[in-house]
Amino acid sequence: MSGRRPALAWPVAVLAFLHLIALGADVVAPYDPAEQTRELIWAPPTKLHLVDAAGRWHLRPFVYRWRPADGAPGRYVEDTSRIFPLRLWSGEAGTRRLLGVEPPARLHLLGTDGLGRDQLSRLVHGARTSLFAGLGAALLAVAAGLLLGTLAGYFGGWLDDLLMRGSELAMALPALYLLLAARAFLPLELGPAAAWGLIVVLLGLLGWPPAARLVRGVVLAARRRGYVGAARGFGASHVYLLRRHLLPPALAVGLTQLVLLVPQMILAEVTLSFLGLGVSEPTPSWGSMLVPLTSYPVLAAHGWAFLPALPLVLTVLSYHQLASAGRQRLRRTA
Amino acid sequence: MITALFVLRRILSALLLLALVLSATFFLIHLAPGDPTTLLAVDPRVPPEHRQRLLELYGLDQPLGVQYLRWLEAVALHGDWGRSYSLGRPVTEILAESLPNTVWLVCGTLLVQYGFGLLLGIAAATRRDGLLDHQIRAVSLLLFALPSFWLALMAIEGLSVRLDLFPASGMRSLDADVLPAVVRLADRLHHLALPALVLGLSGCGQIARLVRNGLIEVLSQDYVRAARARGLSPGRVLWVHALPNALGPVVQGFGVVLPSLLSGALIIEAIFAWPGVGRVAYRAILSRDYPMVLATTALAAALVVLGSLLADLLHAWLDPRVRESHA
Repeated sequence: MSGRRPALAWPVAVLAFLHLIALGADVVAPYDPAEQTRELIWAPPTKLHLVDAAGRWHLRPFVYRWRPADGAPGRYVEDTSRIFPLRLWSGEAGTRRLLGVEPPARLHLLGTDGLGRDQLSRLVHGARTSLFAGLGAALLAVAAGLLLGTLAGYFGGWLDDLLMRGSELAMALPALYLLLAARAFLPLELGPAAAWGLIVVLLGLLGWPPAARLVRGVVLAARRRGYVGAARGFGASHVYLLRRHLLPPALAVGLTQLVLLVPQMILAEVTLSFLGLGVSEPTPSWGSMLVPLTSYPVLAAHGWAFLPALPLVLTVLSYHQLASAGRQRLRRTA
Repeated sequence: MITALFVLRRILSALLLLALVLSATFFLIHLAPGDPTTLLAVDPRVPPEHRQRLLELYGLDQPLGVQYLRWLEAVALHGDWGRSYSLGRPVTEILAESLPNTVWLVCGTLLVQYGFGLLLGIAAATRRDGLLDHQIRAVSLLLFALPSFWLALMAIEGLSVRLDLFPASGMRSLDADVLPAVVRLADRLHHLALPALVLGLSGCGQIARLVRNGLIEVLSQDYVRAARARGLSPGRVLWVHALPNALGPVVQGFGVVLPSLLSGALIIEAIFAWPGVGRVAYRAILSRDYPMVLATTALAAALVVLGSLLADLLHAWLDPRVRESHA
């Protein structure tokens, strides 16, 4: 027994929070992720104030507008002539947002990017692209792994040989080379939805072997158990045996594999988008949001451009914690 | 005798695997929509007959089966991988230039990855369930959770831009050609440090975990207790008696580490402008340079197959039980 039992509550809470935000992106994001404000290029995060320039306290947090600093192009100072209180659930009916300020002020809690787009809004909409791409790809991979692994483990023989050699082949491929090759030989100018679907399918197709091999092992072990032999002796059909005795343990393995695969798939999607082969602009992804960092001026001067990586790291860590907690609980019930 | 047969069988299956990977890649890229002239077709200044002539020149107007057989014949019988469509030079020439650079990067990375991995794994195993063990696990998980390209960017920001310790890109200084050999080597290592460190650190947690688990298992065995009871120093027991037997899974894991390392090298090469195979592959893919893509995929697959072959042979050499089970 190794020490404490890994916590399950916080990863679940964090992941639920992130996925909820991603689902509600249209309301949570203060602005349209593609909306550009050319006067506010690389503006730093808007500061929330409680005390105004004259030293008076306000009950409601407020912001000042950024205005270009005199004689220093690309820098901004706060225009303290007028305060703009923070508003909850503002905007006209139909386009209400969770947080906002009255125009002409703008609320950029995480700053803006090189086209003056709101980073927070892009991050929230990017969560939709990246989180669900990872989830979809992992689901596909595990579903394929369950199907093929069960077939290989249950029927054995040449089918087993064929599938297992195939999985070895697939695992020996340098995945990124193949992924890039496959993505690049398909049309580059795909719509965002089509490109997203394509990435999910490609990642899913490349991810099946580990799950299939594990499931095969479990099914093989379960098939040799006495109660399966007894059931077969009573004349149970293939379908009954699979459903009643072989799929439940295989499903448990598939579930842990799923939780382990999702973060890998998210990282893969982010990497593809970073390399310019993912979902195309202006649709944001956590990966394409990090591309501006490859230029030194941005890297050196605009620290907030690093922020899109934070939710990514948080997501991956939460999934790993979830996986280790889940594995230990499964082991206990087994 | 048994060993020779085992080696021969492993090599044959490796070659077969390689042939399958290559054929799969060939059909994958030729069946996918679009060809190297797709971008020309968009350009209104290029007359259609030019496009047709290019297709004929490259033999892309032939049926797929014919193309495959021609390609197979050239590659298998003459070792001719063709010319790059976009650079106009023989593919083998380009790869011969870039492969050594990738080998530099991979070797540097392996040094970092296995060096740190071993040290961290040993430290964690000897202080099992202690504070250090938990910290090491947390740090390696964090390094794994960060995408390597982000780690690379952070390293550039911190160590190159702010502290100016390492060069941020390329693999040599501008005046490298006129430097004496020793300084040139130092210059190369100086450029290698950052990419190797980034790529190595993001993978070292994996190694550390393998070492830790292997070592914990070995340390609980009777012969280790016997060695301790005989009064051998703890250091000797650890390094001489326990560690070699704990390394089986680590050696075997090399076959899994190499593919992810090559994929990682592609990203790192792109970020650090390291003129290796990964960067060549990335550019070839963007310009739909069929011969170049096939050759780089082949090279990467060959390295992977070679790596897992080496790992198996090394494992069999280290552990007689493995050898005999294959006999």
